Amino acid sequence: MNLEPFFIAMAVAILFLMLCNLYRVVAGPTVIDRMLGMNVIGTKTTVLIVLIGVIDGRVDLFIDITLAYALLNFITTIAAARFYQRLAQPVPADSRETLVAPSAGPEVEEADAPVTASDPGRKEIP
Amino acid sequence: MTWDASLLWQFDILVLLMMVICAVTALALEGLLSSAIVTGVYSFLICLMWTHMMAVDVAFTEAAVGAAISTVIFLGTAQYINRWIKKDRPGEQGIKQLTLVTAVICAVMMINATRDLPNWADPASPASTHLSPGYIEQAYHETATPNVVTAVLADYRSYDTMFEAVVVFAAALVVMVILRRTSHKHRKVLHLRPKREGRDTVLRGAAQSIIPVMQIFALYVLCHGHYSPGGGFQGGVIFGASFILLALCYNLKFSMNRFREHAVQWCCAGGVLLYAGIGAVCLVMGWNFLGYAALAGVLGVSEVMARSHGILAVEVGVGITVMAVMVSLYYDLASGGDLEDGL
Repeated sequence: MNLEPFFIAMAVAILFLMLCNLYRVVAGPTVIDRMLGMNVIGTKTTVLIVLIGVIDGRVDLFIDITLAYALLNFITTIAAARFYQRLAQPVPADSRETLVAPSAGPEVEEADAPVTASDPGRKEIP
Repeated sequence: MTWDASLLWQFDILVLLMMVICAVTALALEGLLSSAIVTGVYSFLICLMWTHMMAVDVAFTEAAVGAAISTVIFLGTAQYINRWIKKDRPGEQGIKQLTLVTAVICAVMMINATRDLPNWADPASPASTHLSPGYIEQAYHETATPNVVTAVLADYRSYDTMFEAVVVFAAALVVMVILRRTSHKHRKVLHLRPKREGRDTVLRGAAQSIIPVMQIFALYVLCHGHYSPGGGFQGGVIFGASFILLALCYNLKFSMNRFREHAVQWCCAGGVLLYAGIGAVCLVMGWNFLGYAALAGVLGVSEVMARSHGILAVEVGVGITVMAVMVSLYYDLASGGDLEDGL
């Protein structure tokens, strides 16, 4: 029995499901939605690579790539979650963080200058 | 089974469409975290595209680098640059429009140039009439390496690969020189760096069970590059990613106790040195630089097998360098250079 049309249909169907996830990544109101969307797209990529391998008749070539994806997809999600964890934590009352970054423009340099001048040898950033 | 390029044209169109959506979204989104996530999705899609074009080694590299390293490095860097994008200042609107016009002109020129390119998988294109047939016919007999990509990369074109390893090494060196242990006065620090709370039981359990598998898999990829897609670069990236995962699931100090700063630096330089050293040995034996057939006398094997072993040896060198460079980049970028606390 020739299963190739079946596998091609599967691949296209999974691609359409990926498109749904992509909508969540693009439109997702919060960052958490985007993280989840990315993770699901990564999982679907893994399946799709195996499917492409089956369609080409060269699964042995592709299985290493999918293994690498399955092992590594995890890391990006954890890194994004760690970043979000930092971002979401409440700002301590004595924090010096301003709403603009040091690289934003000259007015920030002025805001930073007294800090470094008054306390040049500080070891710890609060 | 023969490969029919028109078989899955729906696939190509959908993936390309999704890639364009991702690219536009990554530019349009405001938060750096969101943009980094969308670029991660983009790398998944482009890996899919390469797999579909049967560029398996390239797809593997993209899988290893795109899925693990690049987004983590983006996020580690994004901690230290502004997370609040400022509204346009008066003069900036004109510059942005100028950039847009320049980008559009470049895009039109490039699209125009693609008409001169040969069709994809065209047997009459210059690339597949001059060099490729020679490599494909001779590589196995000359180097005993079934994977032609590995043979070309590490034997016929081993100068290029050596200097790629040097470029990777230089990247780590530059980041080290700029960021590491500079005085607080000159550094753009993250003033707010709250301590992590919670015990992370699930993450630590997952890390404990995944990391050994990941490292064994990395060694397999490194050693099996002769027979399947993979090789030093991919294996090194996966091995380095295991230390990054350790640092993410525990903390940076925990990872640095297992792979110390000095060991990382020694590995960075040692891999490149191993590569160049093998070339120098060949030179001493009276052959060309990196002419691995010279190793036949040293190893006591035939010249064909000596080339095969030479490829393996330089792949190990590339793997060591890449592994250490990835870890070093993460240590520097995620901690802002003070190696105290990472992402």
